[in-house]
Amino acid sequence: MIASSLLWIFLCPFLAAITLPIFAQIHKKSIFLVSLASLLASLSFACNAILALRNQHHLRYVMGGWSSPMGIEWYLDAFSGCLIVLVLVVSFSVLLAHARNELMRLPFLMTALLHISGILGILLTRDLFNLFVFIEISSLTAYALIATGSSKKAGISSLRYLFIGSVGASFYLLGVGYLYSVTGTLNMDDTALRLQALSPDRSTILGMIFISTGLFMKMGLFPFHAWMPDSYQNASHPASSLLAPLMTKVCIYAFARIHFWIFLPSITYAFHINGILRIVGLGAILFAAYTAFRESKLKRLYAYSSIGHIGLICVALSLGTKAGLVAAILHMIHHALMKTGLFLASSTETIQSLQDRVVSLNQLRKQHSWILHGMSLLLLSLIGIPPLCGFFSKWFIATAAMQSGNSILMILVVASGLLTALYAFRILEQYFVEPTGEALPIIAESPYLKVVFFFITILVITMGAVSPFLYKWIYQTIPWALA
Amino acid sequence: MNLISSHLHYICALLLFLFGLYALIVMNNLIRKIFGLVILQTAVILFYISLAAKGNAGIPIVSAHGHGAINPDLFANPLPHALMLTAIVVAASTLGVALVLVISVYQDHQSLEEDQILERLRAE
Repeated sequence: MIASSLLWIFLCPFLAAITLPIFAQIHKKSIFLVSLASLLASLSFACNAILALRNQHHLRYVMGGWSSPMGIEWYLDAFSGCLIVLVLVVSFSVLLAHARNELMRLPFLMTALLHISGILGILLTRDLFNLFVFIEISSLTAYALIATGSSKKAGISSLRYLFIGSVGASFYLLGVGYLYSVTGTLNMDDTALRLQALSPDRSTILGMIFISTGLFMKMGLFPFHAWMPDSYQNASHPASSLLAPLMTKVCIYAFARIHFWIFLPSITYAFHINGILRIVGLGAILFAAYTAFRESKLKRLYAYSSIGHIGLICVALSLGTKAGLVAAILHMIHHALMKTGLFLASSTETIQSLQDRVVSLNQLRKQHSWILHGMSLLLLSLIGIPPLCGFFSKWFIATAAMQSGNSILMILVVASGLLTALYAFRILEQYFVEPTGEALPIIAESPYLKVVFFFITILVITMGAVSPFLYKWIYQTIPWALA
Repeated sequence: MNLISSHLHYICALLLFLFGLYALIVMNNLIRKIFGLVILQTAVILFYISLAAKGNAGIPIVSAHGHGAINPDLFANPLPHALMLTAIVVAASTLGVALVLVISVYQDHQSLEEDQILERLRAE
């Protein structure tokens, strides 16, 4: 009974997406409320399923009664559960915040809901091929959402994302084909079991390399990051604040799910992937700090910062330990919340009237100073200042590095916080610069955006207090395949 | 020689995949890039279909009374075919989205050459 709520988590936004044209016929204004209601309904099913995790460590839903190797399974544990709640909270807040935006009509809402249901499918499925289909659903809708940008660059940046993303998906599909040719199954548990029974040969290793490469391209890991800054900058504001926190995170989830539950337990060669991940992740942190420091546009700066934090999450994953994985999960959650807040701040009318420039932010000292206060709080959290949530996840990553006896890596993680501070202070220093030139015209901000922005900043503060308990809960309940 | 003749379809799939990737990276015209993408996706489909093929195997239709006595060597593997049906749909929708985006790029910039478009954007 409780297992069928896994299905409803996905079905609520999906059914809403396909019935939205009917609601539009009945009443034009109702579609926005229907979309929000579907996300809330999905959230309640997700909470219902997570509450059931107290008794068992995972939930399974078997489609149509066809059990595991033959049929398709959906699966929920602490890892996917946390991310599902995160996805729903973030997407609900982003849609609500842009309630007054003129884009909030039928095409945008349908695409956004399909995007969200694709993401929920990635988080829930236990089937390697279904994962590919859901990745493509969420990516195709992401390309469409980016193209809603009003700038002339939106189309070309979306197209370049499409090229890189589709190559990534093809690599992933090719890798799944290699694994399928060895194991004859697509179920993740079954694949792991059968690979453990076999001695890994060349096609298994090649499949692993192709799957990892494909997902690295999708998540925007350092050498494959080129699509990210352009897409985030040129997308419309609702689209960029919806995509930036979520899309890359779920692709990291997909990688972590396959890496930790299929590759690491069954293929000894998979430990080499950890080494590559660590080097690439550290490279991403350095590269992101350098480019973000030189960047003059706010949304591009955030995009480079995202590249760096994806690198940090990959460094945490590369430890290959349970502590590292849980620290990475927490950093994914915290970083998504902080990025939502930052992108919401940059979609305010005031910052748009400043043309997204970092150096003009000091104009905010006189009017709408709440934007500057909130942004500073989020940036301090991004750096990792103690009472805020960003501190805790970096702390957990550093302790995980220490526990696995890698003290140099621990120092590098702490140093990454300092590198973040390097570019964050370019925004923070605007507090102390006297605004010159004529004052800004007074612009009324949408009250929805204000409320949601306030809610996200409160969430960033409270997650700091909650995160030690969350860490403990995930650590204890996550089903762990490795010794 | 035997290796080549027995793995011919795999080699074709690999060559097509590399050819598509090459076109995607090197070509300057956006439509040609899309051709490269389609070739790359077709290569993956060919790879899967090659996995399903067997010598002397028929179509995988089992009669209603065939329970218990099915010899899998006599039937081609139906699962990769079913999977590739979905993959073809995904590839077709990718192509659709890509073509729409190309139309909007052309309307914005009156050009399909990537370097020209980037140059114009930089000039603005």
